[in-house]
Amino acid sequence: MGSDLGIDGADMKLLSETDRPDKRKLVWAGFSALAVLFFATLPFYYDVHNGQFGVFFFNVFVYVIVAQGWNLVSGYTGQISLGQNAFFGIGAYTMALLWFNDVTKTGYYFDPVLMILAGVAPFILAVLVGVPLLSRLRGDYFAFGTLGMGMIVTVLFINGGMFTGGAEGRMLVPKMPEGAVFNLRTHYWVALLVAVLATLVVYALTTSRIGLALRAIKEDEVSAASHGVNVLKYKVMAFAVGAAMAGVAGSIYGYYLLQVTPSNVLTSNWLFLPILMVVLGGTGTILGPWLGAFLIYLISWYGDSYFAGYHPIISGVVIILVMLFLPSGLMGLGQKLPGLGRRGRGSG
Amino acid sequence: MNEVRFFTRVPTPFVTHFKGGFVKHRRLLLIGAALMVLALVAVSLAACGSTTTTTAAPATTDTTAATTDTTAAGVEMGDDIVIGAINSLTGSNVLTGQEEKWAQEKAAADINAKGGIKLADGKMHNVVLKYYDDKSQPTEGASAMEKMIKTDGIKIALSSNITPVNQAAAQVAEKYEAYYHITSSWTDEASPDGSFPGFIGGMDLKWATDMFESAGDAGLVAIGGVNAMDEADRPTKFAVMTENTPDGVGFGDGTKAGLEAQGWEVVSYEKFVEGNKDFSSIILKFKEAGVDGVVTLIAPTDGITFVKQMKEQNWAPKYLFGYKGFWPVDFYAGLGDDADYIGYDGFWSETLPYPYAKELGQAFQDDHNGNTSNSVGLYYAAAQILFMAIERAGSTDPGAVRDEVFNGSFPGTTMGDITYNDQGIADIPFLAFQWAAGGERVVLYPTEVATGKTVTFVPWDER
Repeated sequence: MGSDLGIDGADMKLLSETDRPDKRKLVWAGFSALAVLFFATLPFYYDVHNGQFGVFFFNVFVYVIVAQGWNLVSGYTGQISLGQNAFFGIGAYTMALLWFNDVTKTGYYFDPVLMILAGVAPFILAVLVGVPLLSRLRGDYFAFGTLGMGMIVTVLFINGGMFTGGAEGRMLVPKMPEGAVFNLRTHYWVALLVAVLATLVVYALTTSRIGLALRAIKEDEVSAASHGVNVLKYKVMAFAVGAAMAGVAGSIYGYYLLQVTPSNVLTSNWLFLPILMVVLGGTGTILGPWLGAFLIYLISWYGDSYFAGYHPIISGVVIILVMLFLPSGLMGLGQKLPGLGRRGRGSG
Repeated sequence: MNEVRFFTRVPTPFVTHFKGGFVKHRRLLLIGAALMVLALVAVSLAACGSTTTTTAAPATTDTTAATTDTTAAGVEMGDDIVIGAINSLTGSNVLTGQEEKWAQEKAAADINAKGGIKLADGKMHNVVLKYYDDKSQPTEGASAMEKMIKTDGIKIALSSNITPVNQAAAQVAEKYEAYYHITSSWTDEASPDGSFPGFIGGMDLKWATDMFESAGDAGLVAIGGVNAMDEADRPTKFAVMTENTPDGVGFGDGTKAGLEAQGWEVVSYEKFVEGNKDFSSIILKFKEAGVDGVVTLIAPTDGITFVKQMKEQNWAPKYLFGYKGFWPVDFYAGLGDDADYIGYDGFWSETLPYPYAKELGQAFQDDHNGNTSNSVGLYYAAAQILFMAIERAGSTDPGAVRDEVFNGSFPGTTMGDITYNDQGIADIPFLAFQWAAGGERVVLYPTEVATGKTVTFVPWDER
């Protein structure tokens, strides 16, 4: 069975498979491009504003953005952040307060400047908080540190008085420019665009030297440091980029609801659901957050219509099944099914 | 080397994969297939647009059969009127959500038993309620409204009973011109200087109405209970204590300002984290400040903890009044006799002199092991008003129904005669209650419907 060189048939196949990694990537890239094309053109042949799938996908996209941020910091870097809802809320509040006080004076309501600033504010906070937290805390302790940060942020906004609008937050409907009409199509496209951008950012980061550093940190911080990786720098960078993504998502949601209050944008929904989506879809994978967001929101959206009051049971059962049989998430199916998975050498 | 991980964190070498065996593959395939089927079933069910959560109409009607049915009075029956209902079916607000659902379903069953609603087509129509879970969260309230409008095409809805949830859902209703018939949400308008944005009344909603009380005035209901005390026994130094949540801070700020505006002295304003297990430091502050009257917004479990620690420290003010957490039967059951003489808010009592109040209260008791409710009459009345508005409009057009409620008067509900203003707001008076010794609910305020006087909170060592 073996060759003259001592390589048996299976190993021969192993080598031949590893010669074709680019083809596999090409297939997935093509699939992703087709999916994006489908979603981008959907409003041309479907009434996104009035149809149920418009708002369904809009919400999925918003969750994907937050989930990709968490995926970067936790899935790829191994730092469990429990403060994403705080970053989401800060982004929403940054947009709302700047708009409410007409700081940018742009005069229109879907302001890209405000959306960028909504990412910048949580980015800065993440750096300020991340340096002390990430330099001194690891694992569970870092997770609890970020959880505490989230609670502090929530209380600050609730008790922010006239500055934040306190418990009632800020109502943005009166700030709509005269003649502006709400159409979900715009929100849908913006959310899709940002979700795709967030995915590309995570892709670009994780396939660069930065990605190698992040993975090295995740596997073994001490070893990474001994090989010259600036551990704190990369951990803070991942934490801050993830926070910025959550912040931009917060601004998109704020523009949709036109009402930003602590109970809307600082709720734990924006923390635990994205985590669940990433874990269910596949931690540390590019497409996992998309798959997880779609499945979780599908169950949430339709579950309570047909199993009112009992839908959490469905979510629970699905999560248990996936964790039992697919601990690496739904994307793990691709790994294990013939013809779909990566074969041959592992990535770094 | 720098490949992106499309699949999983630790790729399985092909050899292992190959030698893993068909059995393993089959199991994975089965799981994958099961998940796919689950997703497909959900989508296909959605496409069918079937209704699964409804109140039971006395006689099941379908579109074709209904047109040929007649009532006992010989009036032709038309199609069912399907009304949406946003409700906290799950989450932290499920307790009050269930009471609200019971009352709404009772109202629907009662009107169906009378033949239904007569529309301009001359036919009678049964009412069917379809429920949507807000999961006790504002974001889910917005999603529930989206689902109702877009999945089922329903554009008239009864509301949930939490202000932030109803605010979020109302924002969505506004965008799609669906009529949202709100109750149990603070009615406050924005302050003239804009520093306070208000609640439902401050949103300038064109497609929603609200029957409830303003947060500021609601806080003063506690004073109604004070005024029902003998003058010599009344407290003079108040403390406001509230949970540090959006609802809590909104309530606390409003109540403190309201008490002070009426000339009462507030010597302490304390906020605590929801789920707090140690109130000893707050009680100590109250002792030091000479507090003899406490007004609080607190959840039932926190309320039980607070009262138990009051007893442990042998501290008792003359007057203790709580919103949100002191009225449930579970609160009294949890504390037993220690809950005696504690005051609380409510929206309704079966002792009120309104039509059907007594019968509704009895029906609730019959369905709930003899327990009473201080809220179901409000929810029942809201449904009554909506049914009246639909009948007056003669159609289920959301705009026509809304127009009947704005500036509308609705006599003879279980909340008495209700009138909405031109902003779609109907202010109702809150009630002050007290747990009498033995667990009976006593209405203290308003005076004209009171069933007793406020009894001073008896010190622990004198019980």
